[in-house]
Amino acid sequence: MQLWKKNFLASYLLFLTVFHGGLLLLDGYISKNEMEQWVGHARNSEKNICYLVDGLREEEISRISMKLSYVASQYAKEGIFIRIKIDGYAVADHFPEEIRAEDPVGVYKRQGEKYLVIREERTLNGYGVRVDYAESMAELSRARERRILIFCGTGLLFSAVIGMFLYYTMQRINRPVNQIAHELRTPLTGIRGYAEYIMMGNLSEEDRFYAAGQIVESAKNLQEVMEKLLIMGNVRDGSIRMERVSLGALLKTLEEKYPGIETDCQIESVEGDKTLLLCMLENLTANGLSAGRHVKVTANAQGIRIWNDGETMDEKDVKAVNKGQEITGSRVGRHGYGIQVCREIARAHGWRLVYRSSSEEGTTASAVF
Amino acid sequence: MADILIIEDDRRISDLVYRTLAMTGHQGFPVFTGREALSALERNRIDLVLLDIGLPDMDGFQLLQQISREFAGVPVICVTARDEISDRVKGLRGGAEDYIVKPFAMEELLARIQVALRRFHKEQSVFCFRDVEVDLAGGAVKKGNDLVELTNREYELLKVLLLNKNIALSRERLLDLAWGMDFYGDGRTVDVHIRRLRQKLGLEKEIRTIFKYGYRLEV
Repeated sequence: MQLWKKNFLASYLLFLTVFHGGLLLLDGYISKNEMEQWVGHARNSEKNICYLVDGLREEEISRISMKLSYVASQYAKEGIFIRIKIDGYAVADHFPEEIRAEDPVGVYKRQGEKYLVIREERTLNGYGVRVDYAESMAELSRARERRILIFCGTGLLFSAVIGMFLYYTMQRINRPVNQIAHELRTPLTGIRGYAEYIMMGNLSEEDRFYAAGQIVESAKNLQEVMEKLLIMGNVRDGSIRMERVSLGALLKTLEEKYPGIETDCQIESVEGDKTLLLCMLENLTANGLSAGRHVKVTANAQGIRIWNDGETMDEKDVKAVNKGQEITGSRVGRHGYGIQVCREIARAHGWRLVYRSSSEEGTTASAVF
Repeated sequence: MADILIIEDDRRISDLVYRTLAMTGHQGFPVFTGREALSALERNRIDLVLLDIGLPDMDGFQLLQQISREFAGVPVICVTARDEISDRVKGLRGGAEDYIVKPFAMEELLARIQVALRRFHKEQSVFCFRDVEVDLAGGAVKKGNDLVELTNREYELLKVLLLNKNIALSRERLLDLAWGMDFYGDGRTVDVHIRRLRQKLGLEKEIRTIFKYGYRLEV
């Protein structure tokens, strides 16, 4: 398994653990609060019954029984079951038989349903009164089930979204590494191959000299890739030195390095890192020169354009480059990896690198300010 | 030997492969784009194709499928910098005979070319140089008109030298190729057998000693 995939799996598992653990804790906290509220509400309800019993203290015991029986039946309709005993004699009893209320407050199960049970005993007019109160917790359970379902749904959706985001981000981060490895392979093949050619072959002095030259050229290529890699590393770190850079001088340096190119400088200077800007312009110019015979570099208030008259790029490739995707190096001349560096440099300056290509107008790479 | 089409857009690598193939007696046809490759396949009788997947004008996998479809008897070996498992699978499923990842050893490339040619019965079986004729299919070695009696090891060693002609092979490599990986011996075993081969076939000059390295059959 590739390293980035391992990293992705580790990060994603960590995220899932933290996220779902958090959801579990949140559910526990909410449930505890709801339970407390429920118990508070039930206690109030039970107290009301006790007050009612207290209010009947002046009345005869037979009337008390009748009234309490009526009240108990009304409560039973709302799913609250009460049993009131006076001196051990039940005057009102809707309390489920299966429940043995032993603790003052407790949760008991009856036919798979949970009940909150409160027991209170007091003395009234010399009579011992006991109130057993049982309230079904089905609604509370349903609310919790609903919440768990919502949490699960949201959790799954969120995990999927985050997972996809994390996967593509890690893949995107890894892509330049792959690209770099790919770019290193070609010069390495040259170095190794020509070295073996010298070592194993029965070569003339001329062939030997040629092969040695190829090794030197491959090593230069390798060095170029390494330099770009270092530049890219610096750009990504954000360690760039902004200063006012004379574009005229920059284009002159470019002309000296690539004689035959045409330049047109319409603005004096830009704010940027001189070394990086030169690297970007050199890359784009070299790409242009390998693609076409004429290259023109124009700097104006809108940006810096590098035009060439070479073969047009495929529409698909232009779109891919502009979207920031990698394309085969030879499709834009020289190394595709160079474009990646140029894009990073442009981005570090707050610019955009845009490619345009048509048979009428040729190919233009523009660093748009 | 074989006519091999080299489809590689990097001219330096293409030239390297071309020179290595030429050294071992193969005829290389270097082309740099997919279109050039298709036209070369139509114009020439090609025995094997070395295909770089990253081409400037078309997708290498697409070209691979097209070659497999239109030139069915031509084995294709993918030679590319793409080392992802998915790419290898795509290449092999797309019709490639073999898949080599850059950077590769030239010896390895040549060995794989030989295997692919053998599989398609395109390998050269009779080698003639000076007054020596070696028939690899029949396993016979003649000097002039006389059959030369070689031991199994001498014959294997000669075969290895012939298939890697003009390439210097180290003593260790010769041991691996002619005796097999399991053989436990040292360079002197090779020296003794080389001396006998030279004597029996009169190849004192052709089998050249490479100082502190090994031997090369120069033909």
